[in-house]
Amino acid sequence: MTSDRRRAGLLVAPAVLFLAGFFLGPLLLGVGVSLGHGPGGTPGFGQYTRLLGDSYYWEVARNTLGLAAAVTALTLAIGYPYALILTRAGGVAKTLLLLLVVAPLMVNVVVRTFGWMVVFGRAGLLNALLRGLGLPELDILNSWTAIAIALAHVLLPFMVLSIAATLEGLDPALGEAAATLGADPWRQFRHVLLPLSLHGAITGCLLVFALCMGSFVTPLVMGNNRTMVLAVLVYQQLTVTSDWAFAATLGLVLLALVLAVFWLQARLARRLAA
Amino acid sequence: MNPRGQLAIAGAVKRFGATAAVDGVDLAVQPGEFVALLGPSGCGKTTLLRGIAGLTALDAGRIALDGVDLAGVPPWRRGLGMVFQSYALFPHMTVAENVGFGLRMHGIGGAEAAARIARTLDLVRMEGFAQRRPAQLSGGQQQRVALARALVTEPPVLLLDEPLSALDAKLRHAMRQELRELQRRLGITALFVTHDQDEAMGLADRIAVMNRGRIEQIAPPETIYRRPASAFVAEFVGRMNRLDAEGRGMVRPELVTIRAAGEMLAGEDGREGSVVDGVFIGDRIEIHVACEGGRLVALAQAQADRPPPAIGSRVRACWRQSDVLTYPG
Repeated sequence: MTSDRRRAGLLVAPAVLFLAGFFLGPLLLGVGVSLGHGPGGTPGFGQYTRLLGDSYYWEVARNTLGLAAAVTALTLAIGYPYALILTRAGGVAKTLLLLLVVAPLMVNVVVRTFGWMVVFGRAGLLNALLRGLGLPELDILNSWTAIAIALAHVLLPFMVLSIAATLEGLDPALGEAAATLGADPWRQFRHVLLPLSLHGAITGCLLVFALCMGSFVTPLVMGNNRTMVLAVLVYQQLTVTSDWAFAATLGLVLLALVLAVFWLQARLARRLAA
Repeated sequence: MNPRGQLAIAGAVKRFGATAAVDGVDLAVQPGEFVALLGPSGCGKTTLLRGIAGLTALDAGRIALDGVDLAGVPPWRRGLGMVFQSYALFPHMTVAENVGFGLRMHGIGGAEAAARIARTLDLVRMEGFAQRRPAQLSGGQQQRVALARALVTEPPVLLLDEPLSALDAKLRHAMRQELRELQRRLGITALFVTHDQDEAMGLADRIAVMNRGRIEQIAPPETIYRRPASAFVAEFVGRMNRLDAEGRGMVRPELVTIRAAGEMLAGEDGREGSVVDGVFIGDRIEIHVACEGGRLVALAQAQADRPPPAIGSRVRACWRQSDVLTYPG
């Protein structure tokens, strides 16, 4: 038993060391810096009171949460039906559908973002299309809408794969049993498939939400300073104003927000499971 | 009330690509009858059952329930009860909710639903388990719940797709008996798919033996055993000795008698050979004789006062000429 335990300890040691060295260490460092223990800082909660007292930062935090929520909702709305079709498809169709959804992951984030800029630009594809249809042009390149669409594009695979994995694991006879008991396709879905795949949908939502909260390249490049999220703000504090203490504080606030949402969703999941 | 649950299948065909899984099946099941669809895997028995349930669309043929053509009727409007091989209990619902699902889908709720759920759970002796989840039940208990779920709406026909195959041998025997008694008590028509001949023999009023998408014979178990209509049925049901390589002549092991070499009665045929094995199986003994043209097996009552022939001894395996089953090659 002790030797088993020792062997298990040895096996997890690399992961523990890695996390301690490259995640926990910097995190503690960040806490220290945010409390003024960095270069040129004054110890205390000054950064936190500054952040909480300025309505601008509240607004950025709201925007960041709003963007993540919108992207999560968008990927869920597209991803759930997509996963449903994916699990029911067979052969070549399935491979193609799978390839289609993971394709954005194979393109570098910067390239992909520029791609969307070409689509949404003033003289871009979207406006060319609208012109062709005789409709008024849109100036949405630097808007929240454009950023949300671009983020939903790249985060969709996380949603689709989470839901598809759950759906694939379900016995096909479950839907058939419901059918023989009098449930039409909608009620088979509503009473059997949907409740049994909620778990996958929640996992997908958590993944997309967390990745969206931390996304930085797309809002930075597409937002062009007209739209601000916490991650971009942290970057600016570091590179433009060189305010390390405040950057660390903002970073920790971002982390706290993500953890708070995780906690809420975990509670929701437990309520649903009961 | 008129007896209901009469099933008439005519010319049923289902193709998967180039192969016909069901290749022209005619089958008439009377109200209250228990029919087993017996055959090796891939013989089309499950496809036929799914076709009746409406879960698989047939390419040709007609299925009628109490005189009503089921063509174009989706499974959720057929009102047939079905028990699946995997049970397919809804894991997110309690036992009561599982059993009540069919009632709920038919708009029956409240006190009536509660009473019917309780009565059906009682019927399968699962009355104390209403609030459990399927994952908290044993295989046999899950089986009973699946049965209750299929029976609660009082369907005219119960379709069972290898429902006992996931249980261990002892439980399978007990459940078989229970299923038979329940079916008789309710007077429900039952169609039971199995690859296990003992199960088919022990349950069914009639057995339909299927092979390559067709029914080779449909008859009561005894007829199937004593007068198999084809060489396939003869060899698939029970044990059989082939008297030639092609299987034109066959005789059941229990109809083979071991006599001393050179001995034979009038009206008998026989072959000489040497005993290669004697297997004691409780009340009976199985004697394997290596003859010219192949091995013959004789199944005889084990008698304490008469020891079986020694291995290596010369004997004559004999059978009555009238007991030989012959089929055109």
